[in-house]
Amino acid sequence: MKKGPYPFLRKLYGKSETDMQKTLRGMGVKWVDVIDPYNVEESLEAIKNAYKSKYKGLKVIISDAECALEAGRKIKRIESDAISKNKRWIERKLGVDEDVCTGDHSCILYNGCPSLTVRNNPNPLKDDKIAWIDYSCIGCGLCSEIAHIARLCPSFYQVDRIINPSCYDRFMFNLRNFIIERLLIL
Amino acid sequence: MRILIPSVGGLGVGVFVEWLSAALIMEGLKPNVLNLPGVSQRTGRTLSYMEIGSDGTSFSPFPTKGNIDLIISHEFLELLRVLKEGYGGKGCNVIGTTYRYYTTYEKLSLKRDIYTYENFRDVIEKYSKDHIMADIYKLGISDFSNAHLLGLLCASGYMPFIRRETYERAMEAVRIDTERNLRDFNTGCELLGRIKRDSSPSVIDEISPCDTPDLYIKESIERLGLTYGKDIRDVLFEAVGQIIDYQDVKYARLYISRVYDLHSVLESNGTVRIGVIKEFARVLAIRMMYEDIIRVAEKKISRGRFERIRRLYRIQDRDVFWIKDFFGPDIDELYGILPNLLGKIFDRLLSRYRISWKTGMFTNHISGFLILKGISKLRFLRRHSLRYAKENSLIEMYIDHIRRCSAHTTDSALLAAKGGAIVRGYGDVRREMVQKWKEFSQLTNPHIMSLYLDKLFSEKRFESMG
Repeated sequence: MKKGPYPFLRKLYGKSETDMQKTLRGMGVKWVDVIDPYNVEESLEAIKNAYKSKYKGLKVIISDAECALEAGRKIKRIESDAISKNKRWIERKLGVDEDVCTGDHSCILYNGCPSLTVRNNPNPLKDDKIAWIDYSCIGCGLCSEIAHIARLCPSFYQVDRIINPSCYDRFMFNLRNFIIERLLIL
Repeated sequence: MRILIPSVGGLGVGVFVEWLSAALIMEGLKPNVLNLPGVSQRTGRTLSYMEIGSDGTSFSPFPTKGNIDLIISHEFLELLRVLKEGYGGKGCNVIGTTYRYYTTYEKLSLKRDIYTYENFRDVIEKYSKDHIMADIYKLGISDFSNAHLLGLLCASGYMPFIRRETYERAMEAVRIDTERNLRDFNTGCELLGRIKRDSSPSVIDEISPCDTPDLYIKESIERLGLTYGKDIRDVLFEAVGQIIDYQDVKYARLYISRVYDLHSVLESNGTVRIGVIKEFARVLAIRMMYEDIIRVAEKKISRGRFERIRRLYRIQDRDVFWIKDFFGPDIDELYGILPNLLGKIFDRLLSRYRISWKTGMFTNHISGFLILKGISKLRFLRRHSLRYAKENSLIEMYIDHIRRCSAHTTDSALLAAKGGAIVRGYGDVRREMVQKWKEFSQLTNPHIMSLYLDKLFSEKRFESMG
């Protein structure tokens, strides 16, 4: 399943007249694979396959997704348009739990995103900095994907905030909240 | 008036300059603006320069050193850079945040920050007439934006010829996420009072006293406090409070008895130093509160966490939101919570395999919440578990290392106490760090220990992990 940072953008763009995969095949490239770079597990698998393959000729992997920054810019315009028309919209943000992060900074080793930064530890016993996703995050989700695939830590979480929720969304949310509030006391 | 706005790409300086220019024009002034954008969007140095006159004459296309009236900074390091380059001066006001972009090497390092406001306050004071610096973490604003900064500028009075309503009208005219930005602008206007009041130490440094009813714990802390002073007493109270929250009073007694035992050893060796005991008390507490899946589950469903997320993302009561958590515990972390004997059998059979349970879970959905609640209720198993046995033996090794070092010099004992903090992380990272700490724990020479520790706390500790 090809997704990219915001999968629904593809539907808005429509189908392209040119197909890179077909073009390459037409040029005689026999080994072509298409990956979604935002699906790290799938991408790693494709690269491993390419290395392990006994095929001798040229091997091409097409990284088929839009730049998260560019997509983010488009999304902002679509978002403000949708919100002004009272349409249901999901705003996505990533975060790091300050209580769960141990401050080993291994997530930063595997991830060069400037939004993934460090901040002071709120625990007075710990004087090292912890990981932190600052406000410049555009919610592409790659940091959590990397932390998850590399089995780094469970600190990452994703918050989906629904703007202009439907009646069903609201009913289910209130029902869940009601039950969870009671379970929290136990 | 000459204004310099140093920043880095991606912080919205372009929008900020647009707002400010629009406000100036609305007030009948004629600003000349020069933008020197860096790497657009991501972290390259950007510089904006504004000259404001009533007749619109451009005096200089570039800022001249020592001839700036106001520096507005979105990024702390860039502010330091322009001040050191000589753009500030005794006639220059400075407004900005202590927020800064870190290089990847800085982020990987566990060493303390060098470029902080505390370390460079004197530089800012030296090269400015007056300054207002907002510490976004102290103020509790995670998403400090250029709208907040504009609000702060409005409240500062550095540009008295622009009225508050003009700023608001300018933001409406520029039409970029107007509703949110106006809200942030109003918050920014209120910040000045909070920054001025904020001469007290950070909230992070405040220690809450522990109100345990256990007499042994209380007496031991008071006795150690009398010997070493208030600092130790505060650390011990905080540690005991957290350990009781982590496990129970019995576990906190074990913690206190360990601190007391080491104190006796140091006393008999004649190497008593407050730094050693303080560092040991702090690191021991962290090591005893190791992060197993029970702890993670507890933290993920705590009431405080849901409230924190609401506050952080400004989620209103009427808003609907989902929290998705990503878990991938290794198989040894899963069977680690089993009773020691049973866990050992699994360990023998499975430890050679790299299996993990990768899952995403909606924590504020009933199914996800119930799973985590169920795991968090396994706390009673913790002190009988295989993981506890393993961690306990590592802690005993840690204490033994400090004892051995204290027989040599106090410096070695202090380094040994500090070194224990390197054991952290989950899964492979923790295993790697334990291995590195075990190598460190063989050392007793303070010079070699210091070099080794320097490497462990720098980005070089990841060298073997690629």
